[in-house]
Amino acid sequence: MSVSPVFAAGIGAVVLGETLAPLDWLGIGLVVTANSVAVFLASRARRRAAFRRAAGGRIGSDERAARRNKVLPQRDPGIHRSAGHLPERLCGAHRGGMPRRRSDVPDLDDLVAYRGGLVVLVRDLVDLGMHRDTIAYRCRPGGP
Amino acid sequence: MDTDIRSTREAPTTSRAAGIALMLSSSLSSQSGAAVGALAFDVIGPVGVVAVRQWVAGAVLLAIGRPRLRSFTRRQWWPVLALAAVFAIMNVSLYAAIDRIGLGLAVTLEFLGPLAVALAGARRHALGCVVLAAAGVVVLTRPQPSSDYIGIGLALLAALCWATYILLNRTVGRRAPGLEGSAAAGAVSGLVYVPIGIAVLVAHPPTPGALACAAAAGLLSSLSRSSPTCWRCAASHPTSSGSS
Repeated sequence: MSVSPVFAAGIGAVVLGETLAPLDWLGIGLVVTANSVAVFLASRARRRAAFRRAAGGRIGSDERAARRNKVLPQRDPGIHRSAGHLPERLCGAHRGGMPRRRSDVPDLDDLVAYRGGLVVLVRDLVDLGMHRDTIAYRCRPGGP
Repeated sequence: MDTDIRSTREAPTTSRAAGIALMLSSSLSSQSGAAVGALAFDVIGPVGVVAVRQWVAGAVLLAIGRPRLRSFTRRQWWPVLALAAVFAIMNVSLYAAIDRIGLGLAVTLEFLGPLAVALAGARRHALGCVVLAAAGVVVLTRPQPSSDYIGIGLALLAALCWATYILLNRTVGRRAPGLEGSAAAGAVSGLVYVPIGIAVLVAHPPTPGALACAAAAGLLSSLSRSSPTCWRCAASHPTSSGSS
């Protein structure tokens, strides 16, 4: 998405015969750079917020390493285990009860996992790098 | 347990690569759609192109999303209608801007919309990006008497619409399953353009070539505009045919 203006300028030049001054290319470059940095910062902020929520606000010095490895902090064994191996209780949506099929799940992001008294939103697991389909697969009764 | 952890680590890598590929190709198809549409400006004008584009996009989205319109509640309808309005205004202002200031400049200015949304989400260190983007805008527009301020204004209106579109699309995505909300919005905005399009096409009789260009624009950009996030929704909520 970040590269759209570059594509637009290139296609405009080739298909529509538009000519851009060097200054125009500089301006496009500045906007694209600003957007790439902003998207990176936004995703990092989301990831950090998810991390804090998942760890119940207790973030240790191993935060960076844990985030790099896409696992939750070791110091919270309940959460750590639930990130690698989702608990059965994940299958209980907080509304609508037990989904029978994947398509019955109203909104995957609203599902919650309970583990050791802690609540983890599926949205947070996704932000931490867990794949949506993996989570959905595990939500099927009789699944692993 | 080991396999579980491995699978959760591998999945994001493949999905990220696929996401980047999808993003690049959707951006490419969106921009080539706009360029092909611009080829028809001489015959039917930007509004005519947008009308045909919205009809095609509405039909494609209806086919893909298969919204069950009758089951929509009032709570689902208002963001869908707002999305339809934003969708309609966004495209007509973008195409009018392309007509006046060119594709590269118009799309770059329109791009300030999603940039603003991303900056609002970044919170910290956002100021540097704002300065960069503002410098980019000043360099691009180079305020001078000969600047086409109407064209620039139209592109900025499209930017505002795109930002609104992103925010509304999140609401719609939460309230209607899968692609149904976006599809319904596309269909409604196509309907809105029926009288406008007929009036324009009667005043400026189209050639088959111009119609084909405008239709291709609709096809190319509707396949990309239903953003990657929506495709992800679609992937995790396969449209249920059996459940009622």
